[in-house]
Amino acid sequence: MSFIERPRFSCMLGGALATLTSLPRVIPIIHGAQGCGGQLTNSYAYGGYLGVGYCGGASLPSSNVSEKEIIFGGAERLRKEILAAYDVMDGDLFVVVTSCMTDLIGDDVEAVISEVERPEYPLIFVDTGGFKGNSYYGYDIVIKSLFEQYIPVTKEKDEKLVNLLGLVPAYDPFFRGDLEEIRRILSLIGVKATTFVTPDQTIEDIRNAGKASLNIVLSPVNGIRAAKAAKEKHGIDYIVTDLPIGSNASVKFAIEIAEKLGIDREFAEKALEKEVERYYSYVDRATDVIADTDFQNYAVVVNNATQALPYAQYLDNEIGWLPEYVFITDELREKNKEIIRRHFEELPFEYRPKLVFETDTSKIQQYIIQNDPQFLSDTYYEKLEPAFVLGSSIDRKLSQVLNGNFLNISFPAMSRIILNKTYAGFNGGLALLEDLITAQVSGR
Amino acid sequence: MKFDVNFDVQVPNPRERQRATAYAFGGCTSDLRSGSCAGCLGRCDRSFTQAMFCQMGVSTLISFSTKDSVVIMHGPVGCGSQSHGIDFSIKQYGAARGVKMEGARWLSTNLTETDVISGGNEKLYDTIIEADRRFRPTAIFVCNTCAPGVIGDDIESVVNHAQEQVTATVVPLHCPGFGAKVFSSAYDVVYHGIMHRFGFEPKKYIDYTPFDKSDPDYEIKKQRYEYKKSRTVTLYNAWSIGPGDEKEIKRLLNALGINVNIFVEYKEPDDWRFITETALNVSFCHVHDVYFLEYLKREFGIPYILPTIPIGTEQTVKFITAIAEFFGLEKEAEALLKKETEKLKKALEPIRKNVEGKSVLISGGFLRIGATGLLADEIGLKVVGFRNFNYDEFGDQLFSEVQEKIGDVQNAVSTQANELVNMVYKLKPDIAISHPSVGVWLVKAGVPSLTLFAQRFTYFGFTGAYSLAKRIERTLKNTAYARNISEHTKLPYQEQWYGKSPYHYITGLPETDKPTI
Repeated sequence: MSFIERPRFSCMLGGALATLTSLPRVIPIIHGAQGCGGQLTNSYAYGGYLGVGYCGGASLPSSNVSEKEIIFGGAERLRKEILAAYDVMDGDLFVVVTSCMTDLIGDDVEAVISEVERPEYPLIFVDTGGFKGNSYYGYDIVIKSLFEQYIPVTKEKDEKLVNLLGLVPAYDPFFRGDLEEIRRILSLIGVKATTFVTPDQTIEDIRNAGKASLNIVLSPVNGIRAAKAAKEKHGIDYIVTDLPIGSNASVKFAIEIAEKLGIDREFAEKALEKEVERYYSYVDRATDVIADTDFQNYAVVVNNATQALPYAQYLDNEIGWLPEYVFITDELREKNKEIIRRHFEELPFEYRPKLVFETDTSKIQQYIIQNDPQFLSDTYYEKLEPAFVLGSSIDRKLSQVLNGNFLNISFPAMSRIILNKTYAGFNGGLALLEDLITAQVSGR
Repeated sequence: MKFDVNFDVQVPNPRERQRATAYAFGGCTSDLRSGSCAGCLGRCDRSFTQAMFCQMGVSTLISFSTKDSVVIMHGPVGCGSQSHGIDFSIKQYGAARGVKMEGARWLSTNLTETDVISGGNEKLYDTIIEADRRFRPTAIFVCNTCAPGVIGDDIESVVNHAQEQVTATVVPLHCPGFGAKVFSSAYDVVYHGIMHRFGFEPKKYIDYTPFDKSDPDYEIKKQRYEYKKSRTVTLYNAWSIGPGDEKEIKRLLNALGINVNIFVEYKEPDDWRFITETALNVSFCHVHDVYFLEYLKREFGIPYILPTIPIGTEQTVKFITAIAEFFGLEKEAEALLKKETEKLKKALEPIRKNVEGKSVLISGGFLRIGATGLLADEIGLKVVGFRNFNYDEFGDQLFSEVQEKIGDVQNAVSTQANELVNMVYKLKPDIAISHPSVGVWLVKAGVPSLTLFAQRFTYFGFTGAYSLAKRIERTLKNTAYARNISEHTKLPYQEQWYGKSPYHYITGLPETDKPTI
């Protein structure tokens, strides 16, 4: 793994903290240096100004190991920290997470945990040493640990209950709205969904996740470890599918799930009909402004492996734009790149974009500039015009270089606050259309 | 006080060792002061701790604010990942100072498990070379984090080796988070790096052409130069100091005929060579830069003074007067300050009527909160408590004034949210003034809070006092947000915690007969 310019993710602990602070009434306990918790909170904040949450930031119990513990070991400090946290903190589940520091010291955290376990304070341990992976992996490992250590194994399965996995709090900045919308779509075909990290979830919902009959992983790379663990331990099958954005994608998604769950296809199609009608009656009245102002754009999508292709699909299939480039900015192993490349080849595109894996912001710009403009003569040259960049706040500069428009859809999302906004599903497809056009008329 | 420090070490001592800076204390102002004098604050620690900042995070502030710099986070990919947020602010506050900044440019060496086993030196070397090639920066700051710190990577030698291959000056910063409990140690680390890697005197034929002795105007040119230098004061800014603050203090000093230079942020390292073109160094807030001022004194014989932080009428008067005295301009200062004080007093009168008697809790860096407390008192607020991030003897002068004016109120040294909400539960302030990332816990606890520094407002001097007073008045005009959120949110603490002392987990507190809360 090489150095990275302005990484659009943090470490495993960072992803774990973003996830844990989004789970209901969970108290994370960090075994690490004093700065890990504070600064990683400041990092996940840039997922659309996602605040500290129930127990993040300066409320995070943290063993704050210093030079003394590096020399003498930090186990005793951690033991005291956990016992004090029981007395002070109010939560349903305590989760010990580690940092690269304490992994290096080699503290036996398992031993400490077994010593301080109390029946009245549920406690699990997730090894999140920083240099083992990035924040996406941190999410995966937390959910995996919940399935392995916390969610009760049950034979009793609800055939209409599913779990939604794969959207990582903060690093998929619209995770709350998107999960809620996907759940709403599933409810149209009579399926209930556990979302884990949306605000309505309770600890009982989490504990009931073992009753699900399917895990839906909305990412080709994230959440799969958790789904595999759930399959092994709880016998829950899983499916990996794209996050649906817009009407076509949502219908396709719902039918796919219906088939997987053995729900009658005709019933499902019928149930979605009304939703499609509603969707297009809104699109109907956007058509005037679109047709009169020529709002078709060349688009550059800069996003992570979960979101990049779904956005490109929406732009191409649903609203007839021209997705010229799709940049995937997370750091992926060759195996995962290959999975995504293969998936990309299978996806239908009217106008097939160039798919590029690039973590470094300035190299994304360099890549485009080297390919465009192409001079055809001293008068005529081809360039991306009109251009629209859908990316993170640090891609705004790219949109300026291309003299195009900009919408902040990926991490870091600092140009907007994101609460329950969604760009997924039917409602998200409409919201995205709104924002893509608003960006072009907002100066009026 | 005497500031004894050895600049010749490779890694500066953290402040808890260098100047007995405390990071844990609970009690009254008088106990805090006597504790710091007797050195017993240094014995205080905690048996339950919560997350905060580290010196590595704070080290990025001056590093990013150096014009056209690049910062390298030498560590796992999470270290420094909060830096996205500084991109917008350095551009905005640079522009407000008339300086075009490139924004936050940084790389992570992205250390993995393999790197930690085999050593991260080679990766660091490659990253430095690429940072120079890709951005052509003025300076490359290398922040050393915990992981390479623990395994003992020798970043100095990597930096020295890479320096031979690159144009930018490469600055090693020894700032692993575990190395300092007092995170403001970062300022010493960064200044230490800067002072060992850059020059602070103008270079002949590059920065200036020596006066020609055969020039008939030689004498007059020389005198003009020397006069200007003898009337120049240099002030030192920091992240928390906004463009409005600099402008205000400059306005007052310029009015006295004193020439003002401001360093080190929003300047490029080539500009730093003019740092010594001054008669006097003055710290805006010596929590940041006393280390560097002491160095400039020893190395170049430039005197410095630490009058106070210029917040509120009295401290501003003191600050300007101290500088004026140095230049023999007491009378001029007195006249100016009298006029300014009167104007401000008149402007504060109507505000006072609206805020008088409201109680306030102030949380943040010790000099800023002490002086803010005096300003709050000046406009009729009742200061019920202070919460310092850390504390040392450098605060004693200010806090003796605070105690005299405000009384012996609660005065904690803490970054912990559990202690904060417990304090709030007992002191029940009407409003709080707090450092960024503290306010959220206050507002959720029902206390409207305004930011201790917000660089888009002026905070220093007379206009700053007015601006802060107006912000306090405005905040109190409608407190519905804090009320609503506190009614509908639950803090992550058990009810029984509020029954205990907020200082319950602080160990080694000095014996006291004063009532605690």
